[in-house]
Amino acid sequence: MELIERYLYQVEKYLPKANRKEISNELRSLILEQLDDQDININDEDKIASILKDFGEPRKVAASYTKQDGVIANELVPIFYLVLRILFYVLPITLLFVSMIDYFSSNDTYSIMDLLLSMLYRVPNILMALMASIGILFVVFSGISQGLTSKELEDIKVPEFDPLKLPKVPTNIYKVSIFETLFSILASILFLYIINYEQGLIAIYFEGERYPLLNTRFQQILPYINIGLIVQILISTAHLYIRQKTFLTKTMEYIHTIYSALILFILAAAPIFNETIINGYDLSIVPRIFTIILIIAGLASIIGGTIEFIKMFVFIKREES
Amino acid sequence: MDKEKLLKNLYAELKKGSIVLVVLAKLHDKHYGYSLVQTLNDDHFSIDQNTLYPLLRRLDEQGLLESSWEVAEPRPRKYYQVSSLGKEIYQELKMTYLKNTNIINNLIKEH
Repeated sequence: MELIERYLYQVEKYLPKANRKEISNELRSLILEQLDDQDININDEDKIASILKDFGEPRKVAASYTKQDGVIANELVPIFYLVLRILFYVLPITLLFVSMIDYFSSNDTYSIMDLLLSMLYRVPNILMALMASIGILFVVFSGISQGLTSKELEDIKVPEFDPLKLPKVPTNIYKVSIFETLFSILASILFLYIINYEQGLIAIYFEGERYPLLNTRFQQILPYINIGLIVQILISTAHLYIRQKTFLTKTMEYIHTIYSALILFILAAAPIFNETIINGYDLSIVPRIFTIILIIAGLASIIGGTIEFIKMFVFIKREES
Repeated sequence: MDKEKLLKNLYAELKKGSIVLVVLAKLHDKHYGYSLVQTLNDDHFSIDQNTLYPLLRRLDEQGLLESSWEVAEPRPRKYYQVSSLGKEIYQELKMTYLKNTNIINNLIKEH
């Protein structure tokens, strides 16, 4: 029975939300009907696997319930994901390597810290390059999908579907909200870009003039903020890729939460505002409000993160017993 | 492409056009998905379940079928039956199919 639920969970992932439960319930009823008809025991995983194999690979089954193929033909989707995966590994490594060479070729004196910083400043560019590459890849695969006939598409080999290798259904504490995760990635990228390249936008806007709010102390904290945002992006990307949280990613998430809270406390304590602007425009209330908000946010994230982390252990203990 | 594969594809294409007609005909009696597959198999009209189940859903959405979950059985089953619109469409399709069959019979009988 657990294998059927694992199968249905995979099918559901590719179904439109509106019909997801209905189609899944219908499939469950049809699978069970077939088990009854063939006198298959509900615990006989091998025989259930063979029934599920006949039903088909989850993505294919889900696609048959949607009105038509996606922009990328079903047959090309596994290859698309494979190329995407390679891109995710190769592109950042290549660009970081290039930035390293660039650093060594344009500087006479070298220091590890400067090198790390110069590489860190490339991160927004790498993320932009990744997004552009994904876009290009999508356009190329869509073009190929349109150009190939259905017969040519049928000849494309897809990896054999083995139901016994289906991943486990994540319990609530390991579930990932796609919308939340995507939002977190995009917000982190945007924030990275603004604080690294458009810091001037964080300013007081008065009578058509722009007065930057942050001073040079903020620059000293910037690399640590960058590290936090990059780690956030990496964790979220991992969640998107495996479509669920794991003990490891949840632990990393918790460490990241504590790290982020510390950064918030440091930002609250450090005089990062441009004093000339603050005093000149009598805005002393701004740093005070800012400090209070940061401390509350830091405390809230530590408490929330700790509760979430403890919940995972309670769940694991309950599972064991 | 080898002959066997080519033939298989052509058989599938030949059959494709008549699946809706056959399903509408059979669903004048109430059936759930799996029982319909069995009935069609017994009538020597084998159909891939991945084609049939989504098709039932599509015809239901188009109003040609009526569906209902019945929970009185050992487990819930979704039953399908042709709707009044479905019956009208079925009659039209059947007439066109029979007419075309005559035409095609005439066309192919010489060879």
